[in-house]
Amino acid sequence: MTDHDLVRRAREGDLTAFETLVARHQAAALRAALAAVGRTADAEDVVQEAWLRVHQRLDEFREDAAFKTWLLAIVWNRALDRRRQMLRWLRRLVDLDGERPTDGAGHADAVAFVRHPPASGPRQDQQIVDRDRVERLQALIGTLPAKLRHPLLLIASGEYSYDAVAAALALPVGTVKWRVSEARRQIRTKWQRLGYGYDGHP
Amino acid sequence: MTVTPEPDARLDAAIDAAANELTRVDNAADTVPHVMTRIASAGRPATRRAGWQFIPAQLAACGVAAALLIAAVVVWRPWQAAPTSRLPGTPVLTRQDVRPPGVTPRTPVEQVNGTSVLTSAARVETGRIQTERVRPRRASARTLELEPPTFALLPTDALTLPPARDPTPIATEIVEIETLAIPLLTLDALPAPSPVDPKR
Repeated sequence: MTDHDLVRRAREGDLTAFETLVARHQAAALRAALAAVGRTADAEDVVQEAWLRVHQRLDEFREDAAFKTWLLAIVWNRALDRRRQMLRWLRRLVDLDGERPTDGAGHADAVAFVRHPPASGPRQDQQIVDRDRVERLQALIGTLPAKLRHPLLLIASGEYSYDAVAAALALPVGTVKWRVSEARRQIRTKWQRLGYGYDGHP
Repeated sequence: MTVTPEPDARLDAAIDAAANELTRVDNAADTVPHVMTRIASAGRPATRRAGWQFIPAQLAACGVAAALLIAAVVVWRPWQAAPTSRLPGTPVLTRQDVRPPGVTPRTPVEQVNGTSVLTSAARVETGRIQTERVRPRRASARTLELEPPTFALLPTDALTLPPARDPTPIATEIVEIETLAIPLLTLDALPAPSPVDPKR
């Protein structure tokens, strides 16, 4: 049964059909929310609110578009709202404590992590080496500006096409492609400035 | 033969893999029941919203209809008959004022709901003239209250009365009466009354 069939049934009050839609797209929705807010708990809240909104606005869904694209747009907007709330909360926290918050500070911590990774025991397993490289790359991804990081995360999730991401971010497809490419280029540059090769070794 | 990717391409692949892992979720299916519980508790206000969208349209339609009805009633004034045209100061002679001689005229002015109206005494006396009421506008009613009405007691045959159901307006009869100078008539000047035709 297609998404559009499920939407039609859900419009008529069929909660089972709607539950099928949720189960089908929950992972993709969570990944999109996670790309924006960065924390699993926040992402789950965002997705829950997004599904609630989807359920309330099923009548507004036009079937000339893919349901997943429509869902992504709603999830993304909710995620950005949540992100703004978090930023406001962090700013208030900074004002009250007179110091920078440790959670979500982002860039400086990430760069420090890449330059001075936590000490670990002897790595005899290639898997451990790969893990270390992945974590360093993820730290560098965290240093990207949001306008480059968000498209990269959404595309790299493998859940969404360039068209869907462009629709959700309200950008031309060409701009999304350029931003993803630019995000990769900046990470490559930083990676090489840190003295690493493509395989992650200095 | 295998193609070794360029270093940049391999690094890009590593970047994509790292980015993919940043958004990886392992418990997506576990969160579905929470979503459905939230939705079931919240209901679906979209249907209610559609109802609310419909109700203003109904209210607007009813409002327009009511306004049109009120405007029509105010302009038309169905509770008021068209004013009779007559000369100022001339008593209005109506069908009710025409009665057989010997019949004591009753005052044709009665208070109905605070408004002076002319009542049909002739209908009571002769049974020939259908029920008819003259409902003057307020200005005419005030005039009637100021001066006692003058009656011309005429035999019913003295005037050519239209049939009871004749839609000829009363004003037409008044013009005929005025043409005959009836307002100056007295009982002595009237011709002898003719008996009422029992067939009518």
